[in-house]
Amino acid sequence: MYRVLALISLVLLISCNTDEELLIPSFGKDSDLKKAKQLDASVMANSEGIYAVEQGNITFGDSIVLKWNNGKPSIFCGLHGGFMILGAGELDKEIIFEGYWRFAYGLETGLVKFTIAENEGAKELLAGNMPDEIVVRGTFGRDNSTPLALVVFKFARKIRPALRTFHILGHRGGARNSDLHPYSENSIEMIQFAEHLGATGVEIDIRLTLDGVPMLYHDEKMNTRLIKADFLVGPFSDYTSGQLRKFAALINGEKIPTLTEALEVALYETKLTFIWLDIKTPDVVAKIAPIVKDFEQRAAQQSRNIEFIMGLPDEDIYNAYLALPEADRPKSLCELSVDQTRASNAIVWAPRWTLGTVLDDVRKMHDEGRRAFTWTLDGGAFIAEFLRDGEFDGFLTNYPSMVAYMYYMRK
Amino acid sequence: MRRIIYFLILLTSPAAFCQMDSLIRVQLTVGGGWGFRTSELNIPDNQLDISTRSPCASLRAMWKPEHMLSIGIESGYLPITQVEAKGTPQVDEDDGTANLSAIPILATLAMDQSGFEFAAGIGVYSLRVAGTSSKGKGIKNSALELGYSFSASYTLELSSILGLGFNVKYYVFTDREIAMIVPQITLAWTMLSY
Repeated sequence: MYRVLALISLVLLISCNTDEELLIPSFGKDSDLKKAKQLDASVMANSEGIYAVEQGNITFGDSIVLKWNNGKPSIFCGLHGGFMILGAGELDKEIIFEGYWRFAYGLETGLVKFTIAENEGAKELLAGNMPDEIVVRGTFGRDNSTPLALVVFKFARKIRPALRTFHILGHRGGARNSDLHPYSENSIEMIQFAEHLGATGVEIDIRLTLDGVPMLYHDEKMNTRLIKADFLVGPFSDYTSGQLRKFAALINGEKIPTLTEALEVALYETKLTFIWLDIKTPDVVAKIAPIVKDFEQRAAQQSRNIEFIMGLPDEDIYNAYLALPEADRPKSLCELSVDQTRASNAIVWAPRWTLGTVLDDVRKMHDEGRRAFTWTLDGGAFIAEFLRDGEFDGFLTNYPSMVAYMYYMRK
Repeated sequence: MRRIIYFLILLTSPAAFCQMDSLIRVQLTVGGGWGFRTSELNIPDNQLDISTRSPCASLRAMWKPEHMLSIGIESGYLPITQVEAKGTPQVDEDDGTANLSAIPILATLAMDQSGFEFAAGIGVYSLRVAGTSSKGKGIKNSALELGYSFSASYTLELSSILGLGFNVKYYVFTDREIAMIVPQITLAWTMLSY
């Protein structure tokens, strides 16, 4: 009896809820950006690069990467996967940056406010020229408190051009709910936000509703991890799209998007270049194939550099894909063996990261004109190792900011 | 959560094994009352939580050996909420209401003396959602969720096999963090003694 009760007690202790919430700091009505003018593309191109951290390196490391993504600046740092989500503009002949910083691995966050003064690079940048020196000065704080700690970044060098395209792919539309971003995983808002985290592409999860509408949802069942609707229970596929649209919301309040909505946003409202469609059940394959083909055409008509790629994660989905007439098959990414990658004529082979750098197979894929991605690479040490020793063409990650920092910092 | 652990520790204390009676009994208790949800429901802004109270029922079978500690199984019916969609639905949206209810299936430990009883249960709740839908297909789905309960009661013996009592139950659904308190009238029937 004692043992049974001890076991019950242990189960209860383990099941204790330890929900974490992250504050997203904001200047709110005190923001200076409302008064600032929009910056030209030349300012963005010229200011982008690697900066040495002269002050603030205890928090942000010795160097940072300033990268503009779809018109908005982000900073990626070397410590704790730190990153800054910023807005920028011109105010009184200076370039100002405002936003928040946080650690990807942890809950620390705060406000940041930077300026490039007129005599420290802003004059030349605003004139469309590359200055001899760019100095970014400002302050950062903790949570929503006034930023008072000093920070100084000095431009060190440009980001080295890539020998071949490398994809930084944000998992579940950019990152998971457990990564505590302001937007829910697999939401339209997260797909738009992914670029600011450093992603150049995203992976999204697709399931069919009861009435056969492909929608973005990861888990098999309705649950409190993903959905803000305590009263909806059971399998996702037992609800119609109309019921889900009206009764359910994602955990941060967004609507559950349809695949079409998600692809439209990716195509028309972002600069993302790779959309990995992670199919959850075999019946999704035939349903979404014409949608994906349609978006391939739309992208081609727009001369837009973006690929919509159907993932083949297991044997059932692989077989459902091969059952499609060859002309109806969208481009695919195969997570199975190299032989199955060849048999399905997938353009990408995507082995799990635990298999290692698998250099021989990656080189074979390259020789055949295919690419190789690995998933889901999250640990800082592994990201560094795979960048150094591997020859992958992209990583799927929950920490795009970390991959972005390490990739852009490469020698 | 700590409360149930403390209670389990209390139940396992030597006092719980004090001999009370030479008879071993199997007792069936039915209860009916009014349930009040004490937790906020996590729902989208466009939903209206229109029911936080509702009639509830419980059914419990306990094996009561010769000492204070008894063990059994509990079930019942708990309507949790009725949710109504607000506003005019858009083209791609459905409309209607959704009702969430639960059937608890809980292993229960209880300790009673002089008609007073304290009990704790742990197990699963069978959650069911059912509702109307403006575009034909009604909502109907179910799932299991872990949870626990506490209760305190007093039973007045009416005869050697029947008792009438008052009981307050507190139900918790661990994942959805839904909590309900249910005061109810109970009828206890000792269906077997040996």
